[in-house]
Amino acid sequence: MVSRRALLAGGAVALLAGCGDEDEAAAPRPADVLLRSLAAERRLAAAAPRKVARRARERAQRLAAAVSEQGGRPHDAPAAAARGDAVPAARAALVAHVDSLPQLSGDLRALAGELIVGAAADLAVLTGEAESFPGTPS
Amino acid sequence: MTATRRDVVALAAAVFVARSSPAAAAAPDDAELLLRLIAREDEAAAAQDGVVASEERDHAAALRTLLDALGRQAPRGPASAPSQDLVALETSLIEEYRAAVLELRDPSILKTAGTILASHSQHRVKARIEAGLDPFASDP
Repeated sequence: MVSRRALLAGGAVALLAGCGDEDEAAAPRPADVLLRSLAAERRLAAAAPRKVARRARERAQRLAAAVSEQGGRPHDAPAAAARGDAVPAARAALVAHVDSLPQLSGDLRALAGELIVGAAADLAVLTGEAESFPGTPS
Repeated sequence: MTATRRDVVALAAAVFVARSSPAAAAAPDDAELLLRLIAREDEAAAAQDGVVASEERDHAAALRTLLDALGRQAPRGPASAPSQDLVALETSLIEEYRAAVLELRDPSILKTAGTILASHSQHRVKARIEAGLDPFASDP
């Protein structure tokens, strides 16, 4: 039979175990976070009309450089094989950049901020509209 | 040595405090940033009209909700403000948010600020198009 003291001690240990490791275990490597943004920009570059595609490629190049600097492999972000619909691709890129913010810090978070500004502008040009909260995951 | 119940409870309480303190320590910083952003949104809403003004008010309302959750309240914004060049106004808001996302700590506040940053980028595109300018001029 498990004593009350053992239960209390077990609870405290569980609380302790959840304390330090939770954030560390849950936090992905910056290179992996950047790879998600890179994959999304590559899909947008493949799907978008010329001017937006060029801007997406430029953002992808910046992301690829950042991935390499963080010890990742840019080739792990797949390039889109076929042309798709540019608007959902732009939305997905924006969501990826917004999602990346809490997982990055310093210069990498500043980069994410710049990517948000660029991808949001592309989405506005593609849709002809501005929205209150674009980049909100649906 | 055997731990007493009091030891275990004290340990659990200490762990709870330790887990809570980073957020508690971060809250005042985030609150100050939210107050600054709300003031900018209120001013922007008062300086514009139509859909964009309505969206600036939406931003301010969302930020006020986040501020309320931190136990703080923002003063009411001005009823009117001098009209401004919209491209310049949106550019200054973009810079404000780009700076804020570097400092904000709470993940949900950070993501909300990121979506509002995106909205201001879209507003700037719209303002540039309406002014006959290149929608992407000097964008990152």
